[in-house]
Amino acid sequence: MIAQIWSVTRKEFRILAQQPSLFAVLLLVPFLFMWIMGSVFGGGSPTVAVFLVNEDDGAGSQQVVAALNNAGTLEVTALSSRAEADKKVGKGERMAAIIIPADFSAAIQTKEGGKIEVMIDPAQSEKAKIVLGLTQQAITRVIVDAEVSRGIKTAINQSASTLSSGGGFDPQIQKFLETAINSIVSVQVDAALADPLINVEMKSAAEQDASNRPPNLMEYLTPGYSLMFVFFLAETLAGTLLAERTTGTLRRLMAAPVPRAAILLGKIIPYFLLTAAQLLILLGVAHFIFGLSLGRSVPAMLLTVSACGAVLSGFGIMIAALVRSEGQISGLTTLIILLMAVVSGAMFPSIQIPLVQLATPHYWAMMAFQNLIVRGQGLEGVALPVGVLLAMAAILFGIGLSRFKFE
Amino acid sequence: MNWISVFMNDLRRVMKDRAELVTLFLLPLAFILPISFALGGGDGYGMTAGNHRTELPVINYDGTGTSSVSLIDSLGESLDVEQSFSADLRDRLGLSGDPDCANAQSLACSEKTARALVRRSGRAGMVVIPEGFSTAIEQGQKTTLIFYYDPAGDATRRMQLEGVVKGAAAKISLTTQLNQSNAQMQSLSTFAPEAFRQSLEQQANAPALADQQPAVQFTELTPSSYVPQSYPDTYQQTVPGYTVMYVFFLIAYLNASIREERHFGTFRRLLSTPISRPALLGGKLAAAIFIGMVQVAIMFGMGYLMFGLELGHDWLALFLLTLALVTCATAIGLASGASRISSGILTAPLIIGALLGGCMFPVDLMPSFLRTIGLFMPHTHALIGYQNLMVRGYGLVEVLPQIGILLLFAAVFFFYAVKRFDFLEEA
Repeated sequence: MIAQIWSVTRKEFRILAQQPSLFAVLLLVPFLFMWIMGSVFGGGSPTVAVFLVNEDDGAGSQQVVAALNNAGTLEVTALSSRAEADKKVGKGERMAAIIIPADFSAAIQTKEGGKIEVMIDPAQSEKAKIVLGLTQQAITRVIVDAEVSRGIKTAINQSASTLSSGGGFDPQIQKFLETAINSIVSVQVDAALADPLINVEMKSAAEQDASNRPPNLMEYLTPGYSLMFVFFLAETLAGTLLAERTTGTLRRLMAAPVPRAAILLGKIIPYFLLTAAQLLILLGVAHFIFGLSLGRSVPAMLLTVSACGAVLSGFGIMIAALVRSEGQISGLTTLIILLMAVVSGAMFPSIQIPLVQLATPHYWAMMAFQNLIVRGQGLEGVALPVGVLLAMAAILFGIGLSRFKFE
Repeated sequence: MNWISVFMNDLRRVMKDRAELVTLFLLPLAFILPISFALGGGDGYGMTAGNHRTELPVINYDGTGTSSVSLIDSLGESLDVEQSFSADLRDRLGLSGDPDCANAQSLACSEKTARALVRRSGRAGMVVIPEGFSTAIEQGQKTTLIFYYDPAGDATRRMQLEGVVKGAAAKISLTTQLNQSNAQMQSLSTFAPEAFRQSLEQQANAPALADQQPAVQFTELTPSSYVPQSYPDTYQQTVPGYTVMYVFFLIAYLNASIREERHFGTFRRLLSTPISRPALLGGKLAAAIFIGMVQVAIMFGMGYLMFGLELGHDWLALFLLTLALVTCATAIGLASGASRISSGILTAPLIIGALLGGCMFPVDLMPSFLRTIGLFMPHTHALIGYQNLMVRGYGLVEVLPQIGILLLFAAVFFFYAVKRFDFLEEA
């Protein structure tokens, strides 16, 4: 039986080897995908491209501009005028523009304070608001400096008028005092920045989450999209089976003393291996080149990847059993694959349908990958999802075997 | 008029194949329904038409302490701070019978509600201010704010909240530390007259003027060209990107039909009739475009009628842009059929295109070289076009460049297909 399965498998591999474009795409596309994801999310958080308009020529605005340029989280492109920013953000060229108004440096010394304006494209506002948060974080130091220097200025002014009975200081002396105090305070600010009183602790809202480390989009989208990619292999698998049926080669195989299950198994083994290999390559590239953690358990990862391969093979056989024409394979498979990816939440964390998602292999595979990659669990974290995946594979293969017409 | 008979023939074939017909109609639903159900409700998740500030639940165990009050004020400058929740929301989260919620006004109940919301991706994060927060700060002791995030959530949403919270915490932390240390004043005393030093110290320790605003504040603007019917919610902002990505998947259909025809030798037979190659391919292209248009119509119609998706005010522009997009996608399908790439394989590069085109997250998050590459993806231009019409409320004039670019892509691929198409070769 094993020899029979192997001979079918070998033949299938030979056919696959004749399609160099398949391998190019299988390897190249995932690599490109990872490369893009890696250059966006690899460093933990993406750098956000944003426009900057500085209408002010004072020292305060210079500090803001410098702080924004130095912030690793922002890629700043300077524009010459507010009108230009208005036009470009209005057209969606960037989702946001930071605008420092003309009176900013003077205004931050007054009790009304100065305003930094953030222009946001409403069409992308949900993501664009990230700029608001990043700007505040980037210029914290400037904000504090402004607050302090305003305080000192006010205090000196007050003291001067009290001490010299309304006359005030000589402007030069006042300037000297302000600079002296400011520079002393600056040392304090540095010390305080290095050791702040308030520490913000990041915690997962889930009750049991060993990782306690915020997830980044790469950790989510890498397994999610890898799954979606590999599922399209099922289309190729179903297509091959269908083609063999139409050309009658399957009928000829039936004449040989080979059990039907052996033929089907032999056919799916290459796809099982291809799926597992493609997933491993995708995750491997993400790991070695872009530093994505793959968790601590190699056996658990291999188990998960194999379970995905098994489900995909079963799925391909089932599709081949249920359809009649190649047009159907393409339409139906694309339909099911997209539906599963969208419903399960594999495409984007915020898009998923509760309960329905339990019926998709993607949901369970994602659970296994998340438990390994984000939560750092081992075999115990994949036992349930891998079990479900294997059960699904068995059911799909069963349906395929019972419904598949060899002639 | 030869291409019309090819067109009619293709459509007739689809109409006869019931399974295929069902698939073609189900495909758009498979796409729009999950997104609509997940995001279209307008409550709970993300931005709604009525409220376009991001919500941040803050559970304050510190009461009316100075530092917690100023922290909440500071957060409120750019976020919508929620400190209490409606009974309705509690019921929906299944917390009405919870022992902590016996007293619905209790902080424990609010914290439970907020955490349940965050866990269900209803909010991207929340903040808990511990008891004794202000006292600790006044005494110069270290204290900790807890930021709970959604472990399964969208990281970009979390980053936004994280930036604001960390910025606000740093601001309070620094100003307090500076006020307390007084070191600067002491160092000054070495060269300042006693009276002046005292006066300064007095000023430094005096409470800030009541009407004093923060030295640096943030305001949000909207581009002046924006003419919305209502502020776009999360659903409205998500649909354009996924629509573009979806339309490109449609080409799998055309690709498969070409392979099948080549396989059965119908192309060869057709070529023996007096029909030109461009007419034959044009007819197939037209049929696929027609089907694609019907599918997009189903998708938008469903979103519009059932989930209140706004389609903008210029329906002609929407029609033309969709036509250009579907034509472009179909021409790519034809070209891939010509180069004998199977549809399953073709899908993968299209996902890359969608990624670079900004269909999944804004291109602004990408490094500049990727943004440049993205300009060569049809997805990029289609997405800007849909955003212009469906979200920014623009009209035909504003999307003419996008329509032109998409048609240019279509022409290039169609030309390639006609040049390269091998009608005689069998699959």
